[in-house]
Amino acid sequence: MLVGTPFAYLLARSDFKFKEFIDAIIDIPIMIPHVIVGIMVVLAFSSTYGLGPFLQGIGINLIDTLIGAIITVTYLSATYSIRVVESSIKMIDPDVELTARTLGSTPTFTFIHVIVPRIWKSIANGAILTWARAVAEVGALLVVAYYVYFNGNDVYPASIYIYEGYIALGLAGAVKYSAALLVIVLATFIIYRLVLRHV
Amino acid sequence: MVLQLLNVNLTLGTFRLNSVTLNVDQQEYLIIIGRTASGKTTLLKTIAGAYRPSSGKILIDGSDITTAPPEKRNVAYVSQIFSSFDPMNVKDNIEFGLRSRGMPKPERKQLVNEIVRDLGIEHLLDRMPATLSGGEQQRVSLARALVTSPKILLLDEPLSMIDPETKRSIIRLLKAIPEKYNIPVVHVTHEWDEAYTLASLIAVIHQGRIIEVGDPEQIFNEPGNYHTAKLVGFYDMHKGIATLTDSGSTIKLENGLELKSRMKIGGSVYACVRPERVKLNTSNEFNNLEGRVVDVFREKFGFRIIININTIEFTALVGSKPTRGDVITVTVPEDSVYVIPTTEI
Repeated sequence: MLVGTPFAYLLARSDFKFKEFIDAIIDIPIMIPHVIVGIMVVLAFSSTYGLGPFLQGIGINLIDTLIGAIITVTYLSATYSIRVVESSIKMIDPDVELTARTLGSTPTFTFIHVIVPRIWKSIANGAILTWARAVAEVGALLVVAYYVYFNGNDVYPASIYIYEGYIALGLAGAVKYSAALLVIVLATFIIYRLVLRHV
Repeated sequence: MVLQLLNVNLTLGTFRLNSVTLNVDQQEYLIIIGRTASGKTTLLKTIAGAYRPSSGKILIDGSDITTAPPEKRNVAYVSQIFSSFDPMNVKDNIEFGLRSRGMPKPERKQLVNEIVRDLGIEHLLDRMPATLSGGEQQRVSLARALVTSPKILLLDEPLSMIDPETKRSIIRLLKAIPEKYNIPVVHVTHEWDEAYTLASLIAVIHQGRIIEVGDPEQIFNEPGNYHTAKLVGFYDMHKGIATLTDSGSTIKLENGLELKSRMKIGGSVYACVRPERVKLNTSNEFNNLEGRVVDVFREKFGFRIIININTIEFTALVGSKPTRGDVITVTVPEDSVYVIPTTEI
């Protein structure tokens, strides 16, 4: 929400150099298998390639770390949030903003008091879709964060843990974790819809 | 001079505002009139600060605001679509500008109460804009703009989404604004009637260029330009060659037809005729034209008919309904043939 909403606003309202290029980068997660995105992240940030050596020099490691996993799934899932919010901003006539601005409102005041009240449902929809997409992510995490060393423990992303269970213990080992994840996601969506209906 | 535009140029894609120069006085009601896509709304939004001119200057009270953001210009823009701030109610909409400027609540309340009383919308304060009629929404938009005490009020086709009955009451309200609030109004429209009713000054815009500025009577009676004449109701504008005579000129149209005019202009010209000046069944010494009725349209005050006269079509407003195919004679009085040199395009 924090990254996607301002970004969506920028895409909806501004024309700038290389906009088409940035548009295409945002759509990459829809266009290609996520395992390729994982490989791109490793190439860009592993200890021996791209920015990796520099980041390691300042104490940042993105491979098999929680921060690396978060950045990867944020990029892969943010597409949904950005596109949902962008379309809803495009549906607001720019004259509404111009009217507010000429009345003395700054761009930030206008965004918070005029734009957000109109698009908050899209922001919420985008956020929950992004979260769901992140929960479902497997491909890129297999490459970037197969397991995460966090607070002295090895932590597996849920989808990878289920996959591990299936490989090691077969169907019986994977079903209970799959069912648990399904219940959590389904319950979250149902609660979200119920809350939205009463707001 | 409250507003001055000095040689303002702006390029938006393939469209260009071209060396626009305009001066607007205190309490002036300026109407910028032009056809669709002539650049009138772009010009208004440039004054509002939505677009930054590539060259030229915009001055308000002598201060250069060419590059100032909209919130620093102290102009109030009222858009064609009313631009209500949903989901705020009417009261919150009206006080939005004051709130964004950080005005304390008691002062805001007082100013809002004054403006809603002025515009007769006290009863709407708790309503949501979506539940209002077009006329009510327009009053709310005007209240929201005027409550901020702008130096200039900018109106983008304010009557285009309002029914005719409401339009009459909004016209009275708009006409009173410059004197009542001591500000100039800049209003854009493509409707000649609207411009003629409201304006104290009219600027005609065509393809991004101001082609004529004048008072309504001058623009209506003596348009100096082909495009202006089209806008102000000269339906028929036929090209011809004018020869000077003792009493004016004789214009030989392209089909060989001759029209006499009282205007002394020679050379390549347009002979311009308003339909309401074309008379039916009158005998005149000159300009009696026989032709066949090719189309008939109902109008508020009778019928508008198209007559084909030797391959050239003329339009007339008549009281009784002729039938298509009738052969009739019409007269165009010499003082009703307005002549514009073809160079004035």
